[in-house]
Amino acid sequence: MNCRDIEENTHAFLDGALSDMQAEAIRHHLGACAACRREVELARTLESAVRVVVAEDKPPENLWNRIAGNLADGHGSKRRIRGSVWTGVAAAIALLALATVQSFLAKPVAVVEVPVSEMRTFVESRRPLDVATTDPQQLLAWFDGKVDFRLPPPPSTVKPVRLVGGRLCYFLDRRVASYMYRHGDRYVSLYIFSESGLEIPERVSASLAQGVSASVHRREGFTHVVWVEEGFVYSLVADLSTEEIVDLARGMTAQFKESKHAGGSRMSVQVLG
Amino acid sequence: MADLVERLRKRWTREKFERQTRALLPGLYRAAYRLAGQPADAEDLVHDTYVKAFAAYDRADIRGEADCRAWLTRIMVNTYRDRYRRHQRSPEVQRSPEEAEVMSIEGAPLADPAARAEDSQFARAAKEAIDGLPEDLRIVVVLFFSQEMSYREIAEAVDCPVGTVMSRLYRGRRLLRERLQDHAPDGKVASKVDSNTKLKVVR
Ligand SMILES: [Zn+2]
Repeated sequence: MNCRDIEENTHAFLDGALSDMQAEAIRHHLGACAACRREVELARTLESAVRVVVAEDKPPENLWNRIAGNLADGHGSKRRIRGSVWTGVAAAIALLALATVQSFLAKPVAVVEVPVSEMRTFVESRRPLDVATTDPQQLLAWFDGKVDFRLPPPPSTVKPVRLVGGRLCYFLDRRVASYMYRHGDRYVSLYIFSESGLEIPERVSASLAQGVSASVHRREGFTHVVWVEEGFVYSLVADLSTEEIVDLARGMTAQFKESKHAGGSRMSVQVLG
Repeated sequence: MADLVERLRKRWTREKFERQTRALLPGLYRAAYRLAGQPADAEDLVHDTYVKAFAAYDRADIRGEADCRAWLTRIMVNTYRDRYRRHQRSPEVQRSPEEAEVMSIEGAPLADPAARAEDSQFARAAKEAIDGLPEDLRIVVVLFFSQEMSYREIAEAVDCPVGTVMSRLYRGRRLLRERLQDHAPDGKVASKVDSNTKLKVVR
């Protein structure tokens, strides 16, 4: 593997489309070559930002209704669509079967990688939640004494997801609260933990609210949004598209802000001090 | 017998097809927008895609969600190619490095910009960079970023081998990167605004 090979394989590498062996060879080179490492990181950062940009184009509200009014009933229509779409599919599947979803650490930012691994392990293990409840107050009470910081009340529903419980995790040398949500048959986890001593990825990709920006990462088949507010890292991990998860993060941020304004005495405490 | 079971399993009711495809609307619209270049054309393109799909789905061999999306996308790409290609601004136009530089300086936020403004500055550059790609590259790049499709899905949608998709994506993404690398998406527009920033920082 030389620099030229890296350049040619950067995309396949970022997409997780290389074999384990190829990916390992690339990682090896990147460990030793700062120039390539910089290039690969730049590609990764720019591309995740581009995904967020295109995700901002939303269809007008009434578009579906306009379309639905003009749809055939599906029987005996005159229109012909060209033959089989699926020629060559088998070959394509064979080609990509070896593609494994990889996470790669050119410059490992633990805050980005670790929560995704935790989530994947949880999902694959089919473990139950530590506590199952749809009631935010009950969940807060359950965390009381288990983490050494004050948690914001979990939003109970945010657009397509609803609160189903929580887990207490331990990673990055600290206790982590995980608010667990459900989206259809998939789990969504919002991890909350202290920022102290952690390297936070550059906050590039998406603006969640006034003064809150997040970075968006794709790892191991999951999408991961990371943002920091008032000394806490919020890490939202789910098997969702960039658009869906950024919308979700925005919804959550808005609800956190609301609940803070509703009950927040934090400012006045600071003023007194 | 197995064959019959297979066929029954495969058949889509209209209700199921509608449910499935309605969920695809945001992604298709995003792709249509980047392909057609403006909202009105994007709406028409998506509209025609659905009309064609609903006229033919009961004869198509669609196996699952991903197949369904690839199939609709394929209809959309073909419709786009047939109809919009001629109206397209010359896709071969590529910005010279000087022009790209002018663009980034013009668009660079100078003083204490809100995150929003930075986002839209990068967003503008990103969209222009995509729009400026040569046609064949642009289509696969759009499907890749706006629908987050796999190589295989894109290959089905644009009707070419996976290898071709990969090489077009390779070239398209390289070009995007070249055009965007001066627009760090967090607003730290590399060396170009550094001089401004430093003026403020140096006491
Ligand atoms: Zn190198």
